[in-house]
Amino acid sequence: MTNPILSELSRVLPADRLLAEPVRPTASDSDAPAGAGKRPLAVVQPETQDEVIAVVRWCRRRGVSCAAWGGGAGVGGESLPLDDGIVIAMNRLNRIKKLDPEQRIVVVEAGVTHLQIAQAANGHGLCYAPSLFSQSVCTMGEEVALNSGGAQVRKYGATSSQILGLRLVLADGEVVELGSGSAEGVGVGPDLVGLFVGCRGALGIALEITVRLLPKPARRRTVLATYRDLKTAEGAAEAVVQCGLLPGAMGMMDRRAIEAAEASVRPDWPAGVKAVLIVELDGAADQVERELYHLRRVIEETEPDEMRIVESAQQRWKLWQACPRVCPPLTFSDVDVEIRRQVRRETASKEIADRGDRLPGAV
Amino acid sequence: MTTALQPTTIAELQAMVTAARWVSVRGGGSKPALSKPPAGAVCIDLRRLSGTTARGADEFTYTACAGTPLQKVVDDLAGRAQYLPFDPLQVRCGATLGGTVAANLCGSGSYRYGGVRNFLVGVQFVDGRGRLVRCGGQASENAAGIDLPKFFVGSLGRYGILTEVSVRVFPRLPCYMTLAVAYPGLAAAQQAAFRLATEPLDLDALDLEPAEGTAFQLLVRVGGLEAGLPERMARLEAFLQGEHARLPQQLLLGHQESERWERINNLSWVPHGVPLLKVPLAPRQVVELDARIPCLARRYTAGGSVAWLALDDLKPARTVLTDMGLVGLRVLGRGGNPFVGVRRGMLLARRVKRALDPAGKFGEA
Repeated sequence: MTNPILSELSRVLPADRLLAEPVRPTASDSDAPAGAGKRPLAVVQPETQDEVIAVVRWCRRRGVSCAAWGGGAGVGGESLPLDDGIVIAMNRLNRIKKLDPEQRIVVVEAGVTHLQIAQAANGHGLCYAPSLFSQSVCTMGEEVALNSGGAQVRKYGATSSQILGLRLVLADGEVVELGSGSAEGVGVGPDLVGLFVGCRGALGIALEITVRLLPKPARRRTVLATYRDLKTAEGAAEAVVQCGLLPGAMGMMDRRAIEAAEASVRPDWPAGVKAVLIVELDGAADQVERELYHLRRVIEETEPDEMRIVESAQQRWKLWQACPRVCPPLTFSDVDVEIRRQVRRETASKEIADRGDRLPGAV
Repeated sequence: MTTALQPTTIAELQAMVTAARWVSVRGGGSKPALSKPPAGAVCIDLRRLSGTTARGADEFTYTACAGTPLQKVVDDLAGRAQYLPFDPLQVRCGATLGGTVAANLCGSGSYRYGGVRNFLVGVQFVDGRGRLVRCGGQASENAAGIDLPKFFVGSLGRYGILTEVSVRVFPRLPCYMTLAVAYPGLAAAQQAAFRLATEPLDLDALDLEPAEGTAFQLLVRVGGLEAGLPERMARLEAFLQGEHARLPQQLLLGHQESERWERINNLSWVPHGVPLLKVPLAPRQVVELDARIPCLARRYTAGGSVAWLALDDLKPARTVLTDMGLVGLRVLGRGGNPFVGVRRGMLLARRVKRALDPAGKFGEA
C-alpha cells in the first residue's frame, strides 16, 4: 500500500476490512438514488463494534473525517465523507443480538436491516411499526441517523418513537450508552436517544440499537380513492383526519408521483388518475370493520372518482411501495408538511420542478 | 421562603435569565421535589406564560405556552373530541404542560402509544444566554435534522426554560372499559402481563397494583367504539381465564372506571407527604425490584415499564437502584438532588449543557 495513511489504517483492522487503491465511486460513496459520487480515501468494512470504535479513534488521532454508510437508502448525502475521508460501511454488523417478545424489544447491531427486524418480529406476533419503501436495504443505523418516517407516522410516530436505547461512538471515540430498558425510552433525565435519532451522523455513529415492537394488528383494511386533482384529494384527507378516526397509515400522491409509481411498481389503480388517497385502518378486527364502514361514508362524501377496498396483501404492499416512490436518478426528498398546506406546497414544488428535474410527489 | 418572579412576556423572561446568576424554574408546583429552588437561586414561576397559541384541529397538533395548566389543555381538547395520548399525570393537581414535558411524567395510558417523547413535535425555550430558541414544528412528523425538542423531555429545566410546547394529539376514544384481575403474587401477575404483550388486543393501559395480602392485580384498560367493546372485553376475559387468574374478575364501567384511572393519574394512592420515586425499568426487573425495596405504597405502570415507589427512606433504594443499574426520579417530597441511582449518557448531556447553558445558570446537567 503506497499511501502512508492507508498503510497505517490497514494496521487498525484485519486485512480484509479495508477497500482502497483505487476506490471507484460505488454505492458506498454515493447516496442512493442521488449518486453524488464523491470519492473517499478508503472504505472500511468492520465486522464488530470494537472495529468501528477503533476506526473512529484512528480517524480522530489522524484528523481524518469519517462517515458511516448503511445500505444506501439515504437520499440527502448524509453518508458522504468530506474529501479524503473514510467511509465506514456498517452493513457487516448485522446481528440480531436479542429478541424478547414478552418485553416487546429487539436489540440489533446497526447494520441489521429494517426488513430483518420486521421479519423477526413477525414470527412472534409482533411488528415494527414504521414501514419504509426501502426496508430491504435500509439499515437500522441509517434509519436512526435519518429518523425515517413513513405513512404510519401520524399514529405510530417516526423512528425516534420506536428507539428505546442506543450504544454509540462519538466523534472523539468515546462510547456512550443512552436510554433504558424501559418501554418509556427516556429513562430519567433529558431524552438523549431522541436527540441522537435524526442527527444524520453529526453526533456519532450508532453501534447497537434497542427497538420497541408492537403487537401485530389483528386486522388491516386499506382503502384506495382516486380524485380529479390533488386539491380534492387533500380535502378528502382532511375529512378523514377530522372524522375522528385514527388511520394506521395515510398516503396521498399527485399526478407526477403517480406517473413515477406506475413506471416502477405498477400499482393496480385506474389508468389516467390525477390524484390518489390511500387510507389504512388497523387494530382489533371488529373495531376495524366498524371504522371501515364509517371511513367509506366519509370518503364517499368527498366525491372520489373511484373508491375501492384493497383486498389482496400483494396489492396492499404495492400501494405502499408506490406511495413515496420516485424513479432514480431523480432526487427524492422528504418534507414534513401539514395537510392543509399541501396545495400551496404543490404550487411551490411545481415551480421548483420547472427550474430543474425534480418531481413533486407523494405525501 | 423564596419569592418567585412571574414573567408575563417572553421578553421579561429573557431579561430575568440574562440578569440572574442562578435560575430555578417552576410551573404549577405539583412536583415539589423538582420545583423547590435551591438556596441562592432566582425562582421563576411560569404560570403567567399561559394559554393556547395554536391549535391545528385538522392536523391533530396542539400548541400552548409552557405555563398552561394541563386541566385547560385537557378541557380544550375534550371540546374537540381529542386527547393527549401520553396521558399526562396530575391533571387535577395544577400541573402544567411545560412541567409535564420537563419532568417527563406520563400515566398508565402511555402503554399503547408511548410517552411524552412520542408526541412532542416542537418547543420554544430560553437558553442560558437569554436567547429565545424555536425548534421542531407543528406538523405531526418532525424528521428534519436533530430533534432538539425531544432532548427537553425530562430535562428538568436544566438546559433551558420552555416557553411553548407543541404536541400531537389523537381523536378521543368514545368509550372505555377496565378489567381488574387478581393473581396470587406479583410474579404471576407479571407473567400474565407478558403473555398479554404479544396479543393483538389493543390495550390502552396495563398496570400492576398490590391487592389484598401478597396478591397483585392486573388493571387492563381497553378503549374504542362502544358497540365493539363488550366483545373485546369478553375475548380479554377468556384469555386471562386460562392464565391462572384468581376469580372473581372485576369489570369497571362508566364513571366508576374513569374515576379509578383519575385517582391513579392524580397520584392520590400515594400516602400524604411521602416521597414518590419514578423508576423506568425493564419489565423483567419488576419482581426483583419489588422484593428488594420496601415501600409504603407502589404500583407498576405501562406493563411494568415504570415503577412508582412511595417510600420514606431513600437510602436502601439508592443502593438497590445502583446495584440494578437503574435510576429513579424523585417526583414528590422535599427538594434536593432529584436523581437516585445510575444515570446514563451524561457525557453527551454535559456537552449539550455547555452549548445551551455555558454559565450553568440552570444548575448542573
